[in-house]
Amino acid sequence: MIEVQNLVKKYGDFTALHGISFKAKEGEILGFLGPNGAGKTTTMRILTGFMPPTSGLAKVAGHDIFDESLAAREKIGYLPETVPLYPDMTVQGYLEFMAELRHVPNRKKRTKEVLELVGMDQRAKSLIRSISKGMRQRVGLAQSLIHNPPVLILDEPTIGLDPAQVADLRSFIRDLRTQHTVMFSTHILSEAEQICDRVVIINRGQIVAQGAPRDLRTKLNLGSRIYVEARGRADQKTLANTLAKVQGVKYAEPYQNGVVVNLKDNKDVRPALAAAVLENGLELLELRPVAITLEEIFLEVTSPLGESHDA
Amino acid sequence: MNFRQAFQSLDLPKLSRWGAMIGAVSLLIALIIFLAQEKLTNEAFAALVIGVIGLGAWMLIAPDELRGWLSGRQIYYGTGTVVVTVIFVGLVSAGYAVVQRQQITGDLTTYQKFTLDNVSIDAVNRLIERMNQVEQSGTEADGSPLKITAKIVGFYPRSQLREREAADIILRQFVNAGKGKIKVEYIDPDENPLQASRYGYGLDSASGSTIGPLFLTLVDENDDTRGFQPLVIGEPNERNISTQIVQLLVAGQFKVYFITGHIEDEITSEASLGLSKAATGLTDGLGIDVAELDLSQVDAIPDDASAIMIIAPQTDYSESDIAKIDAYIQQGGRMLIAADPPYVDSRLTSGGNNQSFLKDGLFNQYLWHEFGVRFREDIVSDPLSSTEDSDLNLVVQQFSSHAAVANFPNTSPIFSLVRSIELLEDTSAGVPEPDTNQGKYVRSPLLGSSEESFAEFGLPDADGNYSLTLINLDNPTDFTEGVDIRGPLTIAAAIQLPLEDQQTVTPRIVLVGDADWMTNQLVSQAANSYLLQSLVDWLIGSADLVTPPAASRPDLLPVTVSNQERSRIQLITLILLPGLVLGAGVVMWGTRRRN
Amino acid sequence: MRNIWTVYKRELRQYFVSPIAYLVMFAVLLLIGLNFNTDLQDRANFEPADGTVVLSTFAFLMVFFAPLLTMRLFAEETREGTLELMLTMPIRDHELVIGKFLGAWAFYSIMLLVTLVYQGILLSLTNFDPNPALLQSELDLGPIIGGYIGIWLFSGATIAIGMFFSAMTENQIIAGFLSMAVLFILWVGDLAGLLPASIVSTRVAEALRVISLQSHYSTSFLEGVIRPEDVYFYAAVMFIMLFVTTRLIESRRWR
Repeated sequence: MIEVQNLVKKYGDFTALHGISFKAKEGEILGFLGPNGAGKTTTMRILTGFMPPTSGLAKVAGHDIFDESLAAREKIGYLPETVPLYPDMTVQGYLEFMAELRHVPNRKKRTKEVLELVGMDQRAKSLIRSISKGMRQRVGLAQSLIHNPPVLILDEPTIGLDPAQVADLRSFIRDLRTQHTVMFSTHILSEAEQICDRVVIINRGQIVAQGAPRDLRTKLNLGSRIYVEARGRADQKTLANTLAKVQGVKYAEPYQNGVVVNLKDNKDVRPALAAAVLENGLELLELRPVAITLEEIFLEVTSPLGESHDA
Repeated sequence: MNFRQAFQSLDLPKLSRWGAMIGAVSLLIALIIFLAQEKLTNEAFAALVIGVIGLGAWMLIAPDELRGWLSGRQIYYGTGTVVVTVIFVGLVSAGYAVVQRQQITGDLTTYQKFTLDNVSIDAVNRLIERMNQVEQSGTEADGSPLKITAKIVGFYPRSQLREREAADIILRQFVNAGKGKIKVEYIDPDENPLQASRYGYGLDSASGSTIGPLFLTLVDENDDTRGFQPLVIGEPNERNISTQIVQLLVAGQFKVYFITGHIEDEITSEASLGLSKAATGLTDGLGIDVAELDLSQVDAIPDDASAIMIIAPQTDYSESDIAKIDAYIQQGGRMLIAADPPYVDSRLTSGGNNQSFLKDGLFNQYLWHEFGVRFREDIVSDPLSSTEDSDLNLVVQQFSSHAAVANFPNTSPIFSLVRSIELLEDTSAGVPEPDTNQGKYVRSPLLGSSEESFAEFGLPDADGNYSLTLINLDNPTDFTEGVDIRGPLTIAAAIQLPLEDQQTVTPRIVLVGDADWMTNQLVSQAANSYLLQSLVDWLIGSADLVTPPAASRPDLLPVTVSNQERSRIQLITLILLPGLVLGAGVVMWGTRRRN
Repeated sequence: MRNIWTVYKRELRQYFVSPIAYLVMFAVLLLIGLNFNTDLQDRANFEPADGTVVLSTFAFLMVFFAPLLTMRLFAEETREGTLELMLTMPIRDHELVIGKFLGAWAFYSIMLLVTLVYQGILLSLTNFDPNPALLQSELDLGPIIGGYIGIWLFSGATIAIGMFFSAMTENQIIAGFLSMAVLFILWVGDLAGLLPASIVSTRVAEALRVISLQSHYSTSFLEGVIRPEDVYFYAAVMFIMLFVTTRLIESRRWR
C-alpha cells in the first residue's frame, strides 16, 4: 500500500532524507521509529502530499504522490503531529466539514459512526476549544478516519497523552489493522514493539534498520540495561566497578543514586548482580530493568562514548 | 585563486536563477514601456534585451530546472514561480492599459449627466466638418497636408488630480464623439506657468474668479495653435464645453461693422461711454470680428458685413448714408440701432444736443416709411422698474417671446435714459400707410417698460412749449395728460420679413431705445452683455447655425426632513440597527458558551 | 467547484460564530449611522439627498475593518496546524484560497447589503411617494447603483489584499497591521498630489493614483459612472492577490 523508493529531501543545503526506501503491505501496521529530527515527519509529509520530494518515488495505494497527488491524497487519512483542529467549531461541525472536503457520501451518518468509533459521540456538540487534550487527539483521529481510507498515517499520535489514554489509543490502533494500512511514527521503542507488525527505524535521514520488532534488538545488537541501587559503605563508583566484573555485563556507570549496568546480550543476569551486591556487604534497595528509548539506543550506537565502550 | 577557480567557486545555477527573475522583471518593464509609449523605444528595447539574456542564461545554465518546471516537477521553489507571477502580473497590468484606452463610460445617472445630448453631438459633428474644410483649404508650413485637431486643455495643479479625473469623465465623452479630431491635454500650471499664462489661466483680478481650468483651442500637427486665441470653457460640464465649441464654429465666420461719422459711440474708446468692452465681448464671447465703418468713405457696405451697428449717433444720417444702408438691408442685411433720447445728455447733467432720430429726421422717416417703426422724440419714465437713482434708469420689465430675447436669465438688463419706439401697430392697428413698404415686414416688440411707465415728451417752459431739454436731475419727469403717453411702452423691437417671404433674403433689424446699456459703464452689469450677445446672435443668425446647448440638466430638489422623521431615523440607524447586530452576537456567544 | 463551495461555506459560517465579526459589523453600522445622520442634518432643506455618503463612509471604514476580518483567514490555519491538514486534503491550493476569499467577501457583501437600509430611508424621504403630483426631492439612483457595484468590487480587492498578508505571516496581529497599513497607503494614494513636490513627484503621484484603491471609485462609481477600467482594476487586484496568495500557500510546501 505504501511504497517508497530512494526518497531524497533537501531543505536548501541541508539534506533531511538521504534516499530511503521501504514498503508497507495491506493491513499492516508499520511503526516508523527514530529520534527527534530523524526525518520521520518529513517522510510522512511527503507521503501525504504536503511537500514534494527532491527526488525519488513514493506511491500510496498505487498512486504516485507527485503525479497523481489528488488521487493519492484521497486514499490517505492523516493525523499530523500537532492535531489540526478549528477551536471555534463543534466536534460534529469539524468532522462534517472534513467529510465534505473528503467527498464522503452520507456525511451525517458517517460522522456519527466515526464519533462512536473514537468514543466521542457524547461530546459531538461541544466546541473543540472546550475539550481536553485526549479528546482532541481522538477527534483528530476521527478526522483521519472519516473517509475510511485504506492508508492511515499518524505522526506521533501518543505524544502528550496520559498513560491511560496512551494505552487506549494503542489498542485502538491495533484494532484498525483489519481495515487499514497504518503507518505511525513514534520515538518510543516499546510502543512500536507492542503494536507494530513491522518497524522502520530511521536516523539522520537514513534507515538504520527495518523488520519485525522482535528481531530488532538482535539486529541492532543492543543489550538491555539494569538499574541497581544499593546502600552501604561503598560509593557509586566502587559499586559500578564491582558490577562491571559480573559475567555478561558490558560496562556499568553511576546514574542518579545508583548504577546503570549495560548488558552484552539478553541473558538474565539479575541474580548475579544481586549476588554481587550482597557479596560486597551492601543492602540491595532496587533492581529493575531500564526501558531503553530509541534515542538512547541511537546514542549508544552512534555516540563516540558508546564506541569507546565497545572497543 | 586564479580565474578558473574563481569561476568554479561561483554558484552558477543560483546566479542563473537570479538572472531568470531579473529577466522576467525586465520583460515586464519592456511590455509596460511599450504599452505606455506605443512604440519600441530604446528603453523598452534595452529592457527586452536584458529580459531575453536573463531568461536565456537561466535556461542554458540550469536546463534541468527548466525541464523540471515545465514538467511540473520543479526542483527549487522560487524561480519558476517568480517568473510566472511576474508574467501574470504584467499581462494583467497590460490589460488595464488596453481596457482604459477604450474610453468606455456607462452612465447610470438619472439625468444622463455624463452622456452627450443631441445638441452637443451636433455641435461636435459640425466642428469636425468645419475642421475638415479648413484642412482641405490649407497646408502646413512645410507644405504637407494640414491636420487640425480641436484640443481641450485642462489646467490642474498636482493637488487637483482628483478634480482632473472627475473632469475627465465628461471630457472623454467629447473625445469619443470627436472621432479622433478632439483631444484632451492636462497641464500642471505650476510646472508649466508659461503655458498657463499663454492660455490666460489664473485668477481674474477684476471679477475675483478663476479663469479656467478648461480651455478650447485648435492646433495643427505640431501642436501649434497658429495664432488661434484659446476660448475659455471654465468648469467641466457639458454645457460649457459645447457652448465653446459653438463659439469656435462661429469664430471668423462673422464680421460686424460699427458705423461712424455721426458722433456714434466708438469701439476703440475705453471711456465710460466707449464700446471697447462690448466689442471685446463680441469677439471673445461670440467669436465675431468687429470693425468701424465710415459710410462717407465707402460706396457700399462691404459684402462681408454680417451686421451693421449704429450705436448712439448724435446727428442725423444723410440721404446717401441711408441709401447705402437701404441697399444693404434690401440684400438681406442685418442692422442694430441703439439710440438715446433726443436733446438730453447721457449724464443728464445739462441739456444735451442729440439730434438723432428726430420726428422729422431723415433716418427716422426712412425707418417709418420702409419698416413701419420709428423712435419717438421722448424719454421713458418708469417709477416701477426704475433703479434707485432716477426714474429714468430702468430695469427692463417685459420680455417678449421673440427668439432674439428668448431664454433670458433671471436678471434683467439695465437701461439708462430710454426713448420709446413706435410701431405701426400702435397708431393704425397695423394697417400700412399708403405708398410705403410697411406691409412687407413683421414688427415685434422685444422689450417693454412697466404699466406704470409713461413717455415724457417734455416739461413746459415759460412759454408753455414742452421741451425735453428742461429735464435734468433737479427737474424730474412729470406726466402731463394729452402730451405724454401712458405705458407700457416698447423700448426694443425687431423687424423681419414674414416667414413665407424669407426664401431669398432675410433682412433683420433691431431697434433699441437706449445706447448707454452697451457702453463700458453698463455693459458688464446685470444681464446687459447677455442682451447684447442675444440680439447679435439673432441678427447674424449664429443661433441658427448651431442651436445653443440646452440649459443645464435640472437640479435635484433639496431633501426635506421633519424633526419627527429625523428622530425616527436616528432611532433606526443609531440604536435599532447596531443593537440588532450586537444582540445577535450576544445570543450567539451565549448559546455557544453553554456547549 | 465543489471544494471551493465547501471551503466557502465553512468560512462564511465561521464569521457568524465569531465575536469579532459581530463587533466589526456593530462598529461599522454605528459609525455609518452617525455619519449618515450628521450628513442628513446638514442637507435637510438645503441640498438634495445623496445616497453615496453611506458608501464612501463604508469604503473608508473598510480600510480599517477589513484587516480585522481577513487577518485570521490563513494566519489562524497556520497557527492551529490545520493548514498542513488542508494541504494534504484532496483539494487544490487555489480552491482553498478562492473558497476562503469568497467566504470573506460574502460576509462583506452581507454587511454592504445591510447598508441598503439607509438607502431605503432616503427613498422614503424623497419621491418614493406614489403620488407624482407632490413636488418632492428626488434621489438620483445612478450614483447609488454605481456606488454599490463599485464599493462591492472595492471590498473584494481589500479582502484579497488582507488575505495575502494573512497568508504571509502566522501572526494575526502582524497580518492585520500590515494589511491595514498597505490598504491605507493604497487608499490615500488618491491624494498623493497634495503632498509637496519635494516629497512625491507629480509623476509618482499620478502613478499612485492609478494604483490607488480609492481613485477607482471616488470619481467614477460614486458619480454614477461605470468605467470598464475601474471594474478591470478591482478584478485585476483580486486576481493578482489570489494568484500570489496561492503561490504563497504553495510555498509552504517547500519549507
